[in-house]
Amino acid sequence: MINLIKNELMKIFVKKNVRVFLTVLLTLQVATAFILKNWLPPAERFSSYVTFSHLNFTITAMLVTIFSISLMVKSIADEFQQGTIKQLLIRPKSRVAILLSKYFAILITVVLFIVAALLVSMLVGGIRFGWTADNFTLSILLKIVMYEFVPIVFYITLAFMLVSLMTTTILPVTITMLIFLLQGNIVNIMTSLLKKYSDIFVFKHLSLRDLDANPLIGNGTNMLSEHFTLTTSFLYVVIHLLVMLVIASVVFKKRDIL
Amino acid sequence: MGKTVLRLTDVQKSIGDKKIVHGLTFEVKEGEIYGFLGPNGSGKTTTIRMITGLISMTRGDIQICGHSIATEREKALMNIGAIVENPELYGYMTGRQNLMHFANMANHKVSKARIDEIVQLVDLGESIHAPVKNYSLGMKQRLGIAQALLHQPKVLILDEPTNGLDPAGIRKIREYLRELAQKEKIAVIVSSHLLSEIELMCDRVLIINKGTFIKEHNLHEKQAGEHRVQIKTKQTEGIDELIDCRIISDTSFEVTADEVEVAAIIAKLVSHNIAIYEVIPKQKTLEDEFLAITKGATS
Repeated sequence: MINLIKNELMKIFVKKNVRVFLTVLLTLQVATAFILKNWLPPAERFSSYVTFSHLNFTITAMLVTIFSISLMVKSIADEFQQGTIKQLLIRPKSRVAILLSKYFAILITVVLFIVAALLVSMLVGGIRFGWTADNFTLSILLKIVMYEFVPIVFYITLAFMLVSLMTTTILPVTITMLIFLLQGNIVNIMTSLLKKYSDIFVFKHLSLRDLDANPLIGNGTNMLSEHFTLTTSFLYVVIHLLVMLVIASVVFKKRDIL
Repeated sequence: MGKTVLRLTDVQKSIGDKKIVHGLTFEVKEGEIYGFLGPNGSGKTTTIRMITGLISMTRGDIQICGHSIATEREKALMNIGAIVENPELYGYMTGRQNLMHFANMANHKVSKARIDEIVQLVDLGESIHAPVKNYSLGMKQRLGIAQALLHQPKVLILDEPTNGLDPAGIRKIREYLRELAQKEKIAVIVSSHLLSEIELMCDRVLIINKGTFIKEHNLHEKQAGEHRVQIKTKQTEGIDELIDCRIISDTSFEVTADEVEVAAIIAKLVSHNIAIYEVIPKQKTLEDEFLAITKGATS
């Protein structure tokens, strides 16, 4: 399995577009320090490197989600398109292992993107806005980062399932992107239509930070009814992830490769 | 002959109501080159896909070194190296990266020395460090063979291996496959729709058409059955009264006879003062047979 993941990582990082994305992402972390500082009114200027990194992170999370969705879809659909899937699947490795190695390779890549972006933005923020954090501490930022991983992983998994079923690029990317971009609207419509029954909708559970007790993390917009806690909500998402992984694996295992 | 490394038993594939392969049964032994001959669309590639586990069988069983592809997939695949259809490789990586990638997928460690050895073998030289998208079809084909051999399989399956190669390249591959079969006791299965290629390369050939087994044939044995000889003389008038023959033209006729009988016929002709210009043995070639089969099947 480790060798398979290594292979997938090699295929990801040998491509130019990944390196271009990483360069743009890291440049952005530096650039915001100079652009935003002058735009914002003095009161809203950053108190420390932590608040600066927090703002950067909201942009980073969105860019990384969008890029990793297409990365996930392409890593599987391209094998089908180039015909290399045949070369992959005639190896003495189980089909499920080969498929999941792609999934884990993308997750590792996403972690790398986010850690790199955070480190750079903290460094730039520290130099520009000082190293002393106020009540918005580094541990709060890291907690938010952990919460934000949940939707990223969810959308990657959704894309992963769709591409395993369809083996093409355009449809899985479009569907996943649409749901990601319209997530807020979907949740609003569902809530007003189904009231409290809309809680069964997994999209309502993706912004886990709203359930955090700390007001600096949750911003009081929790739309879930009371019987959901942070833990149950999280488990609800995890169950969805597992179901999607199982569906993808079962279909992929049975597929005739033509 | 060595032991059987690949055995197909009554293998069938249907997609929907359509039967693509009807009950194929054959065996391939180690160290032999086995031809898989059939016109386009005859089910060659479908069969190869079943052997390599890419598609499922509807009925029957395929065993590679005693392991069934259906129930012991990984053990069976350990012994197979293959190119299915075209040598599809990652164009954005170099030849060497491609080889490393597939070496990582073997069940035992493939050493760097082995990779170098294979590169030497298929004669890719310095181009191994260039991206595969810049390769010619011939180079891709050779890299494809290289990746199939990395893990030292017992069975090598090549689907149309000489597609897109120049005559020198084809010859080289042919010699190389011979060597592999003889020295390393690898069973090589070569599919082709070109008879001449199979005749030059293979020990045995299986002819299929429309997914049906037509004939298996050992290319080292002389064709059993008819021995025909064409004889050219000054003129053939009246010869059919003398001997049992079939007149082709004014100057030539054909007899069906073995070596001893031919000698007797010649003696007879000479004793009747008929000048013999030429005696040409006419073997019914595999080509006639192949054409007859494919024609009969399509009409």
